[in-house]
Amino acid sequence: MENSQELAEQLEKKRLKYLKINLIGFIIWYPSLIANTHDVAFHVIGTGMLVISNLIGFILWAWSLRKITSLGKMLKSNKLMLEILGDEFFKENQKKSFRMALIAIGVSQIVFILWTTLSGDISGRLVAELGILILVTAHVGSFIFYQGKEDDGV
Amino acid sequence: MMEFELINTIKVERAKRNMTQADLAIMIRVSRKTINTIETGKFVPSTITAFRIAKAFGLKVEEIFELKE
Repeated sequence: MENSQELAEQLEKKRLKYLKINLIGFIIWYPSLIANTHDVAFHVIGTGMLVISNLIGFILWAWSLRKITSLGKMLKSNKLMLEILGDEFFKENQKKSFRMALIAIGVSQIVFILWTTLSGDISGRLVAELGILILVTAHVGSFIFYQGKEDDGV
Repeated sequence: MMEFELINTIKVERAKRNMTQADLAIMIRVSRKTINTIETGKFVPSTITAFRIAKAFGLKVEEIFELKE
């Protein structure tokens, strides 16, 4: 029994680690992709830096995504681990993080509307891309926060 | 509006049986963290999990969980 729970805890730690790397990769890659597309920030950080951060971010994001996918495939063959790692606490945290993402996207849309009204200098595509950035960051970030909270269990 | 709190005796029942959170977690097929959050009152379990916990101890669900005002 102890071994099964130890394995579950190891897999949970791995899942959280890959999710953190995935989020970091996304936060590095996606904004540099947006900056590249919209010709912004070139004068601030330079084209070379932008390309490097784009590449590093994408590699981190893609590698961790592959790891998360293979972890999921591995769990499919182990019914007990699948049940433990996808229990109701996990599902509740998924719901909470989805709510956080909705709140974040709602608030950001209000900010974008105000921004457009006041300055009018933002394209629809940029708003959509920033929306994706905020949505994914809020969702994955809050899930990591809720699921990764330490406890004092025995 | 009245506020209710779900209190439980999981820790006491575990101690009586010399059982860890990990042991109980495996018995009812959830993570140890789930048991910890239920035990400390941070997370309210579903009816099914509440019944499974009670069954693991060989008790009735109302002997484990109680609603306090």
